[in-house]
Amino acid sequence: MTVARRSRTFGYLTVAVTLALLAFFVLATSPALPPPVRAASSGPLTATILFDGVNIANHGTVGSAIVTNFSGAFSTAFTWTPTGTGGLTVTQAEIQLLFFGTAIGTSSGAFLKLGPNSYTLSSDFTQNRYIYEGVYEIVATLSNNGTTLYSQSFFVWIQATDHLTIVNIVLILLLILEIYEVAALGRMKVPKQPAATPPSGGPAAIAPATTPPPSTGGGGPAPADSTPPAGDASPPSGGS
Amino acid sequence: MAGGASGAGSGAVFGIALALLIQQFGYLDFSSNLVNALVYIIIFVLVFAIIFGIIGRALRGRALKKLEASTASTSGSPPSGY
Repeated sequence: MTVARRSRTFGYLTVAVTLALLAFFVLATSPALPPPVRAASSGPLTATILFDGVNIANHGTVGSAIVTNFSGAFSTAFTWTPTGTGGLTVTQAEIQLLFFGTAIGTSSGAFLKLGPNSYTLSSDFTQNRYIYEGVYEIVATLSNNGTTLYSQSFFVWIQATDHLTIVNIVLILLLILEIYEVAALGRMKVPKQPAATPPSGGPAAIAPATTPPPSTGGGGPAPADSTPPAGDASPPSGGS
Repeated sequence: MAGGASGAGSGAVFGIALALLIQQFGYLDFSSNLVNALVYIIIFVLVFAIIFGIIGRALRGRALKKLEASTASTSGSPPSGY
Protein backbone atom coordinates (compact mmCIF):
# COMPACT_ATOMS: atom_id res chain seq x y z
CA MET A 1 0.00 0.00 0.00
CA THR A 2 1.47 3.29 -0.99
CA VAL A 3 1.79 6.18 1.37
CA ALA A 4 -0.73 8.25 -0.59
CA ARG A 5 -3.28 5.47 -0.61
CA ARG A 6 -2.78 4.78 3.06
CA SER A 7 -3.22 8.42 3.99
CA ARG A 8 -6.36 8.61 1.83
CA THR A 9 -7.83 5.57 3.56
CA PHE A 10 -6.93 7.06 6.90
CA GLY A 11 -8.68 10.27 5.89
CA TYR A 12 -11.86 8.42 4.92
CA LEU A 13 -11.73 6.54 8.17
CA THR A 14 -11.33 9.70 10.19
CA VAL A 15 -14.27 11.34 8.45
CA ALA A 16 -16.43 8.27 8.92
CA VAL A 17 -15.57 7.90 12.59
CA THR A 18 -16.24 11.59 13.16
CA LEU A 19 -19.61 11.30 11.47
CA ALA A 20 -20.46 8.21 13.49
CA LEU A 21 -19.56 9.84 16.78
CA LEU A 22 -21.45 12.98 15.85
CA ALA A 23 -24.55 11.04 14.88
CA PHE A 24 -24.33 8.96 18.02
CA PHE A 25 -24.07 11.91 20.36
CA VAL A 26 -26.77 13.87 18.61
CA LEU A 27 -29.13 10.94 18.73
CA ALA A 28 -28.23 9.76 22.19
CA THR A 29 -28.15 13.01 24.06
CA SER A 30 -30.99 14.95 22.55
CA PRO A 31 -34.22 13.87 20.99
CA ALA A 32 -33.48 14.89 17.41
CA LEU A 33 -36.96 13.99 16.35
CA PRO A 34 -39.45 15.25 18.88
CA PRO A 35 -41.72 12.47 19.96
CA PRO A 36 -45.31 12.91 18.97
CA VAL A 37 -46.87 13.74 22.27
CA ARG A 38 -50.50 12.97 22.09
CA ALA A 39 -52.23 15.27 24.47
CA ALA A 40 -55.30 14.24 26.25
CA SER A 41 -58.11 14.22 23.81
CA SER A 42 -60.74 16.85 24.31
CA GLY A 43 -63.64 14.46 24.25
CA PRO A 44 -66.79 14.12 26.20
CA LEU A 45 -64.95 13.55 29.44
CA THR A 46 -61.83 14.54 31.33
CA ALA A 47 -59.79 12.00 33.16
CA THR A 48 -56.90 11.58 35.50
CA ILE A 49 -54.80 8.49 35.06
CA LEU A 50 -52.31 7.17 37.56
CA PHE A 51 -49.78 4.59 36.43
CA ASP A 52 -48.65 2.75 39.53
CA GLY A 53 -49.58 5.81 41.52
CA VAL A 54 -47.80 8.27 39.21
CA ASN A 55 -49.87 10.82 37.34
CA ILE A 56 -49.12 10.33 33.67
CA ALA A 57 -49.89 13.96 32.77
CA ASN A 58 -46.27 14.97 33.30
CA HIS A 59 -44.73 12.03 31.47
CA GLY A 60 -45.65 12.67 27.87
CA THR A 61 -42.11 12.78 26.51
CA VAL A 62 -39.28 10.33 26.22
CA GLY A 63 -37.12 12.35 28.58
CA SER A 64 -39.74 12.25 31.32
CA ALA A 65 -40.55 8.57 31.01
CA ILE A 66 -41.73 6.78 34.12
CA VAL A 67 -39.11 4.31 35.27
CA THR A 68 -40.64 0.93 35.88
CA ASN A 69 -40.21 -2.75 35.30
CA PHE A 70 -42.41 -5.67 34.48
CA SER A 71 -41.29 -7.94 37.25
CA GLY A 72 -44.78 -7.90 38.69
CA ALA A 73 -48.30 -6.71 38.15
CA PHE A 74 -48.98 -3.00 37.97
CA SER A 75 -52.12 -0.92 38.18
CA THR A 76 -53.53 1.92 36.16
CA ALA A 77 -56.17 3.96 37.91
CA PHE A 78 -58.65 5.83 35.75
CA THR A 79 -60.78 8.60 37.24
CA TRP A 80 -63.06 10.45 34.88
CA THR A 81 -65.70 13.13 34.83
CA PRO A 82 -68.04 13.81 31.92
CA THR A 83 -67.72 17.32 30.55
CA GLY A 84 -71.36 17.51 29.48
CA THR A 85 -74.44 17.50 31.58
CA GLY A 86 -75.88 14.26 30.38
CA GLY A 87 -74.88 10.92 31.81
CA LEU A 88 -72.03 9.14 30.03
CA THR A 89 -71.37 5.46 30.14
CA VAL A 90 -67.85 4.06 30.05
CA THR A 91 -67.54 0.38 29.30
CA GLN A 92 -63.85 -0.26 28.85
CA ALA A 93 -60.44 0.89 30.06
CA GLU A 94 -57.42 -0.18 28.11
CA ILE A 95 -53.70 0.37 27.94
CA GLN A 96 -51.61 -0.41 24.88
CA LEU A 97 -47.85 -0.78 24.84
CA LEU A 98 -46.54 0.46 21.51
CA PHE A 99 -43.46 -0.49 19.55
CA PHE A 100 -42.82 0.85 16.06
CA GLY A 101 -46.24 2.45 16.42
CA THR A 102 -47.90 -0.91 16.80
CA ALA A 103 -49.43 -2.33 19.94
CA ILE A 104 -47.31 -5.19 21.21
CA GLY A 105 -49.00 -5.50 24.57
CA THR A 106 -52.59 -4.81 25.53
CA SER A 107 -54.42 -4.96 28.78
CA SER A 108 -58.06 -4.04 29.15
CA GLY A 109 -60.92 -4.27 31.55
CA ALA A 110 -64.62 -4.26 30.77
CA PHE A 111 -67.21 -2.76 33.07
CA LEU A 112 -70.27 -0.57 32.94
CA LYS A 113 -70.04 2.70 34.80
CA LEU A 114 -72.20 5.76 34.47
CA GLY A 115 -71.26 9.38 35.16
CA PRO A 116 -68.19 10.45 37.12
CA ASN A 117 -66.48 7.34 38.21
CA SER A 118 -63.22 5.48 38.51
CA TYR A 119 -61.71 2.15 37.63
CA THR A 120 -58.43 0.49 38.44
CA LEU A 121 -57.03 -1.69 35.72
CA SER A 122 -54.61 -4.34 36.87
CA SER A 123 -52.13 -5.46 34.25
CA ASP A 124 -49.41 -8.04 34.22
CA PHE A 125 -46.71 -8.21 31.57
CA THR A 126 -44.54 -10.44 33.70
CA GLN A 127 -44.34 -13.05 31.00
CA ASN A 128 -42.53 -10.51 28.83
CA ARG A 129 -40.15 -9.20 31.44
CA TYR A 130 -37.17 -10.70 29.64
CA ILE A 131 -38.15 -9.19 26.31
CA TYR A 132 -39.37 -5.66 26.96
CA GLU A 133 -36.74 -3.17 27.88
CA GLY A 134 -36.20 0.42 26.90
CA VAL A 135 -38.50 3.36 26.30
CA TYR A 136 -42.01 2.51 25.25
CA GLU A 137 -45.08 4.58 24.70
CA ILE A 138 -48.27 3.55 26.42
CA VAL A 139 -51.68 4.75 25.33
CA ALA A 140 -54.40 4.70 27.97
CA THR A 141 -57.93 4.73 26.62
CA LEU A 142 -61.43 4.91 27.99
CA SER A 143 -64.12 3.86 25.58
CA ASN A 144 -67.79 3.12 25.28
CA ASN A 145 -68.57 0.05 23.19
CA GLY A 146 -65.62 0.63 20.91
CA THR A 147 -65.97 4.40 20.70
CA THR A 148 -62.98 6.15 22.21
CA LEU A 149 -64.06 8.69 24.80
CA TYR A 150 -60.67 9.63 26.15
CA SER A 151 -57.09 8.70 25.39
CA GLN A 152 -53.77 9.88 26.68
CA SER A 153 -50.29 8.65 25.99
CA PHE A 154 -47.22 8.58 28.16
CA PHE A 155 -43.80 7.01 28.17
CA VAL A 156 -42.31 4.41 30.41
CA TRP A 157 -38.71 3.32 30.63
CA ILE A 158 -38.90 -0.35 31.32
CA GLN A 159 -35.80 -1.59 33.05
CA ALA A 160 -35.23 -5.28 33.21
CA THR A 161 -33.21 -6.81 35.98
CA ASP A 162 -29.55 -5.89 35.57
CA HIS A 163 -30.29 -4.88 31.97
CA LEU A 164 -29.68 -8.48 31.11
CA THR A 165 -32.48 -9.43 28.82
CA ILE A 166 -32.52 -11.99 26.08
CA VAL A 167 -32.73 -9.29 23.45
CA ASN A 168 -29.74 -7.48 24.87
CA ILE A 169 -27.68 -10.63 24.97
CA VAL A 170 -28.54 -11.44 21.37
CA LEU A 171 -27.77 -7.91 20.25
CA ILE A 172 -24.44 -7.82 22.04
CA LEU A 173 -23.47 -11.19 20.55
CA LEU A 174 -24.46 -9.88 17.15
CA LEU A 175 -22.29 -6.81 17.60
CA ILE A 176 -19.31 -8.95 18.58
CA LEU A 177 -19.90 -11.29 15.67
CA GLU A 178 -19.97 -8.46 13.14
CA ILE A 179 -16.78 -6.96 14.52
CA TYR A 180 -15.17 -10.40 14.25
CA GLU A 181 -16.42 -10.77 10.69
CA VAL A 182 -14.76 -7.54 9.67
CA ALA A 183 -11.58 -8.38 11.51
CA ALA A 184 -11.53 -11.76 9.76
CA LEU A 185 -11.39 -10.00 6.40
CA GLY A 186 -7.80 -9.17 7.15
CA ARG A 187 -6.89 -12.75 7.84
CA MET A 188 -6.20 -14.70 4.71
CA LYS A 189 -4.39 -18.00 5.08
CA VAL A 190 -1.93 -19.04 2.44
CA PRO A 191 -3.21 -22.31 0.98
CA LYS A 192 -0.99 -25.25 1.71
CA GLN A 193 0.84 -26.51 -1.31
CA PRO A 194 1.00 -30.26 -1.88
CA ALA A 195 4.20 -31.88 -0.76
CA ALA A 196 5.14 -33.34 -4.14
CA THR A 197 3.66 -31.50 -7.05
CA PRO A 198 4.18 -33.27 -10.33
CA PRO A 199 5.85 -31.14 -12.92
CA SER A 200 3.54 -29.62 -15.46
CA GLY A 201 3.20 -31.77 -18.53
CA GLY A 202 4.40 -34.81 -16.59
CA PRO A 203 2.92 -38.25 -16.47
CA ALA A 204 0.00 -37.38 -14.26
CA ALA A 205 -1.12 -34.64 -16.56
CA ILE A 206 -1.03 -36.57 -19.82
CA ALA A 207 -2.02 -40.01 -18.66
CA PRO A 208 -5.80 -39.63 -18.98
CA ALA A 209 -5.53 -38.11 -22.43
CA THR A 210 -3.46 -40.94 -23.86
CA THR A 211 -5.52 -43.80 -22.48
CA PRO A 212 -7.05 -45.52 -25.49
CA PRO A 213 -10.67 -46.53 -25.64
CA PRO A 214 -11.53 -50.10 -24.84
CA SER A 215 -10.62 -52.41 -27.62
CA THR A 216 -13.58 -53.70 -29.62
CA GLY A 217 -11.84 -56.00 -32.01
CA GLY A 218 -9.44 -58.81 -31.33
CA GLY A 219 -7.14 -58.16 -34.24
CA GLY A 220 -5.47 -55.11 -33.09
CA PRO A 221 -2.45 -54.98 -30.97
CA ALA A 222 -2.88 -54.85 -27.27
CA PRO A 223 -3.34 -51.35 -25.96
CA ALA A 224 -0.39 -51.70 -23.73
CA ASP A 225 1.74 -52.40 -26.74
CA SER A 226 0.40 -49.65 -28.92
CA THR A 227 0.74 -46.90 -26.40
CA PRO A 228 4.03 -46.26 -24.89
CA PRO A 229 4.09 -45.94 -21.16
CA ALA A 230 2.79 -42.64 -20.09
CA GLY A 231 5.93 -41.87 -18.32
CA ASP A 232 7.82 -42.23 -21.55
CA ALA A 233 5.56 -40.04 -23.61
CA SER A 234 7.52 -36.97 -22.94
CA PRO A 235 10.47 -36.16 -20.88
CA PRO A 236 9.88 -34.24 -17.74
CA SER A 237 9.54 -30.62 -18.40
CA GLY A 238 12.68 -28.81 -18.20
CA GLY A 239 14.66 -31.99 -18.83
CA SER A 240 17.21 -32.85 -21.48
CA MET B 1 -13.64 -4.55 -3.56
CA ALA B 2 -15.02 -7.72 -1.94
CA GLY B 3 -13.66 -6.68 1.40
CA GLY B 4 -15.45 -3.35 1.20
CA ALA B 5 -18.80 -4.88 0.31
CA SER B 6 -18.50 -7.54 2.97
CA GLY B 7 -17.49 -4.98 5.55
CA ALA B 8 -20.38 -2.73 4.58
CA GLY B 9 -22.79 -5.64 5.05
CA SER B 10 -21.39 -6.34 8.47
CA GLY B 11 -21.59 -2.64 9.26
CA ALA B 12 -25.24 -2.53 8.29
CA VAL B 13 -26.09 -5.39 10.62
CA PHE B 14 -23.93 -3.81 13.30
CA GLY B 15 -25.79 -0.51 12.91
CA ILE B 16 -29.19 -2.13 13.31
CA ALA B 17 -28.07 -4.10 16.33
CA LEU B 18 -26.48 -1.06 17.94
CA ALA B 19 -29.56 1.10 17.36
CA LEU B 20 -31.77 -1.53 18.95
CA LEU B 21 -29.37 -1.90 21.85
CA ILE B 22 -29.35 1.85 22.48
CA GLN B 23 -33.12 1.81 22.38
CA GLN B 24 -33.09 -0.98 24.91
CA PHE B 25 -31.11 1.21 27.26
CA GLY B 26 -33.61 4.02 26.96
CA TYR B 27 -31.87 6.56 24.74
CA LEU B 28 -33.91 6.16 21.57
CA ASP B 29 -37.63 6.08 21.07
CA PHE B 30 -38.73 3.41 18.66
CA SER B 31 -42.18 3.04 20.09
CA SER B 32 -44.11 6.07 18.94
CA ASN B 33 -44.10 5.57 15.23
CA LEU B 34 -42.40 3.58 12.56
CA VAL B 35 -41.00 6.53 10.62
CA ASN B 36 -38.95 7.84 13.53
CA ALA B 37 -37.57 4.39 14.18
CA LEU B 38 -36.70 3.88 10.53
CA VAL B 39 -34.92 7.22 10.36
CA TYR B 40 -32.79 6.30 13.34
CA ILE B 41 -32.04 2.86 11.98
CA ILE B 42 -31.15 4.14 8.50
CA ILE B 43 -28.74 6.67 9.96
CA PHE B 44 -27.04 4.00 12.02
CA VAL B 45 -26.92 1.58 9.11
CA LEU B 46 -25.40 4.11 6.72
CA VAL B 47 -22.80 5.36 9.15
CA PHE B 48 -21.59 1.95 10.21
CA ALA B 49 -21.77 0.48 6.71
CA ILE B 50 -19.41 3.22 5.55
CA ILE B 51 -17.06 2.73 8.48
CA PHE B 52 -16.97 -1.03 8.27
CA GLY B 53 -16.75 -0.92 4.50
CA ILE B 54 -13.65 1.24 4.63
CA ILE B 55 -12.10 -0.90 7.33
CA GLY B 56 -12.94 -4.13 5.53
CA ARG B 57 -11.54 -2.86 2.27
CA ALA B 58 -8.33 -1.75 3.91
CA LEU B 59 -7.92 -5.01 5.78
CA ARG B 60 -8.67 -7.09 2.70
CA GLY B 61 -6.23 -5.10 0.61
CA ARG B 62 -3.51 -5.54 3.15
CA ALA B 63 -4.19 -9.25 3.38
CA LEU B 64 -4.05 -9.61 -0.39
CA LYS B 65 -0.74 -7.82 -0.47
CA LYS B 66 0.60 -10.19 2.14
CA LEU B 67 -0.70 -13.16 0.21
CA GLU B 68 0.89 -11.96 -2.99
CA ALA B 69 4.18 -11.44 -1.25
CA SER B 70 3.97 -14.86 0.34
CA THR B 71 3.13 -16.57 -2.94
CA ALA B 72 5.94 -14.81 -4.74
CA SER B 73 8.43 -15.85 -2.12
CA THR B 74 7.43 -19.52 -2.17
CA SER B 75 7.09 -20.12 -5.91
CA GLY B 76 8.87 -17.29 -7.56
CA SER B 77 12.27 -18.74 -8.48
CA PRO B 78 12.81 -21.99 -10.37
CA PRO B 79 15.20 -24.58 -9.05
CA SER B 80 18.75 -24.11 -10.09
CA GLY B 81 20.00 -26.04 -13.08
CA TYR B 82 17.04 -25.37 -15.34
